[in-house]
Amino acid sequence: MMILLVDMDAFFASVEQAHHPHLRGKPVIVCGDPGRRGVVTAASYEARPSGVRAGMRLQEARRLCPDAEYVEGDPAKYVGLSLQLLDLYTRYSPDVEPFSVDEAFVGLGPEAPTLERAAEIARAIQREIDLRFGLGASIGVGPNKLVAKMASGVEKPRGLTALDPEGFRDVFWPRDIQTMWGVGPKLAERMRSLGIKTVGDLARAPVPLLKSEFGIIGPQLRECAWGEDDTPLVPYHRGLDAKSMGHEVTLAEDCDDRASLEGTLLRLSDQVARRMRGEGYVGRTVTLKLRDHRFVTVLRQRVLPDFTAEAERIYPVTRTLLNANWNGAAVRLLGVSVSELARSGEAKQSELFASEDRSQRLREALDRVRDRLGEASVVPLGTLVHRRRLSHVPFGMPQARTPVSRKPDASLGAPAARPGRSARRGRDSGDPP
Amino acid sequence: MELTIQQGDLAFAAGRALGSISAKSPLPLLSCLLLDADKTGLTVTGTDLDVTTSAHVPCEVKTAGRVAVGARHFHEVVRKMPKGTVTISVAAGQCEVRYGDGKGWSRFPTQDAADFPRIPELKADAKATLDGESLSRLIARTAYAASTEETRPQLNGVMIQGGDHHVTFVATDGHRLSRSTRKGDFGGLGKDGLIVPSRTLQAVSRTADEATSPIQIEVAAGKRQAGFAAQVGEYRVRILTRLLEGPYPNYEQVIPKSNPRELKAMRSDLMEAVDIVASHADNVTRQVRFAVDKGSLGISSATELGAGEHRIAAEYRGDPMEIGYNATYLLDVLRCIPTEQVMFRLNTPLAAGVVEPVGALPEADEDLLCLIMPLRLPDTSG
Repeated sequence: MMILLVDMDAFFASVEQAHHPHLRGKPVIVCGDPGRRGVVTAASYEARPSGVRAGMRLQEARRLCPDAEYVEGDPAKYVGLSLQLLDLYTRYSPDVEPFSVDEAFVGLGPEAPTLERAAEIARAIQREIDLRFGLGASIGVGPNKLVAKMASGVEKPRGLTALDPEGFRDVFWPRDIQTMWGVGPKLAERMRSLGIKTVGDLARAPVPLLKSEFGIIGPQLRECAWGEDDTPLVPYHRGLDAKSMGHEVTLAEDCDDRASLEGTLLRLSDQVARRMRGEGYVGRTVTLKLRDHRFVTVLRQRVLPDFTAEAERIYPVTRTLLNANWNGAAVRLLGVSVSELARSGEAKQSELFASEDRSQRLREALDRVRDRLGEASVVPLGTLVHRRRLSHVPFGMPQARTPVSRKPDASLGAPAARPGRSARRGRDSGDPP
Repeated sequence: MELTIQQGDLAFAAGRALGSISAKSPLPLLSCLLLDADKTGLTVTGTDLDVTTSAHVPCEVKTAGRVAVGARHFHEVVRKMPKGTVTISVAAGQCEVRYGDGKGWSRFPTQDAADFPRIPELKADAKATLDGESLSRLIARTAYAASTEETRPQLNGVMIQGGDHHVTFVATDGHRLSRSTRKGDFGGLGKDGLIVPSRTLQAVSRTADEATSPIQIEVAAGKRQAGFAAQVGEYRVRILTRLLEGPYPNYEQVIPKSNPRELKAMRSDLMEAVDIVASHADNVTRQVRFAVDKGSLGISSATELGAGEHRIAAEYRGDPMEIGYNATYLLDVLRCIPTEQVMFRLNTPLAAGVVEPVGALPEADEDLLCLIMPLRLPDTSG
């Protein structure tokens, strides 16, 4: 059995470039927070020569690469695309294991008896990703997950590296010990102090020494250094039940303003509820996560009398939990999650009071609007007040764009697209232009 | 402060006052009981700022005074002390309780009573009295239907409406409703009604059960406060509460007046059937299916957990019909109806159904009506 590791090249930044032609060929930096304290979540290959890396503070990135386009990340979009990519891989093999939002293992069976055949399939996957999404991927091919994963990093972007254990040893034995998958900076430091400086050193190190120094992991890493790995591939099955759904946000600035915090909770509750409805879940336990400026984190939860996927029911609980547990200290991070999930039943509880039925119909209508026009097309008013206060820059508006007129949408009865909305339309669409 | 009191009296007062203290309070003083001794005796008070319970017990007070002690701890210790006389004295920031004729003593750290939240005086503009047994029953028949969610806070309690000829208790969470009335002159309570939080009613119900006097209800509508006071033997218990803010939904409007299909069944048979069949019901919707036909009622459910059906005899005239219900709601309603038989008055599978006792209630001057909204079954059309 051969295994591929498909690693998307500068995934978030490339997605933005694919979706926004004016960003192509330019250094693009995707950041978490629009505020000044954010960090770089991804940098396009154009930005990398200036030294910008994911995880770097935004301030530093701006200094290194002042001309880059800074774009706020849109996790929902990346996750959506990531799922589409998984779908694509499953057409080559049913054994697909997502490894992160931009990496997945693909296990090939009898259809790829040799490394060469597996590399051909990898090439086909690369081509299809480019064709359908306009994105680049680097693929590592090997007899196991370890070799595939490490091979994928050999050549980037749009690289393809196929290695058997022998090839693995040729390539990696001369390399620094920290290139070994599973060896981080701290472990590398300890190994170097024992004279293990390269992957090859590790492969030849005495097992008893490794065992006494690093415990069970020591001999295992030595196996890995020989390109041996028997970690099974755990295929991803659609419809695997989630245990909880949540969203959290590090605020652009530490905040002790109750209205802003409540606005944020409303936004998070709304996002969680939307996702639950989208995936057909209801849940019963609402959890608030609250982290203050000193990094003191509290989690508080409450169980609802019955199941729900409505922001109107989730939000008041989070607000009550905030009021009961917030001591007034400036807040750094807020999170809302719902657990004790179940598949929403087919039977619907009727309402005694007509106003509730109307709210239900309104919710359904709003969901349809957002499914078509994107999450930002309709948002709870409370979240808008909040956005203005934090001088929130809506995602994907690095510069003013001329409004694009769109055909009136008969089913929604929209007479004509307004400028703001049409600009957003392009942004939220999950399809490549 | 110095006084002599019976252990049982002290434990009672502390226990009742503890009922209004919330488990986790942001303010340390809200975890305290206030002990207030004057020449008439000792008053113990606990509050969470929304509900305040105080219990007054007569005792021999040598020196009047006020002191606050940790509620849970004080009650826990006092409860375990042997019966008989105990003395309480305060000195050097400690509250000392001596018991068992000098056998033992316990000391409790105190907080400054001056910081204890001031319990506002209730300036009542409406008053009524109701005997404890009736009050407790009216609460039990309605409070279960109240909502526990913050979405519509006005539903988190029981609406009590006065009238010249009767008093009405109503609670609903938007999916079921229970209305219980009692005849009598309750004009003094005001027709606009007051919404009493469910939490308050738990405490009120407990006091009503043990009351040896009628319960006095006082309302300060303008300040959205109400008080419930009763004598429990020698003790006087008073519960002061903040009322919930309306408007309460127009519930009269949703009670169907002429549902044509009548279904009569034995209450115990029905409860047994629903209880068994609901074991297979979906965790989320708790759905059971009623299939009514001439002479019988079939209750069924089917999920991946399993499936079941249970038929019981029922009087029914009308076209066969299927209707879905949340089993939890059904059982709640059936539990609160005291008669042997129950009557369902139904309309369509999507409309509100009335559930009523058949025949007179044990108390001739009382009345009970429940509403339950069906579940829309996936295979029924609207």
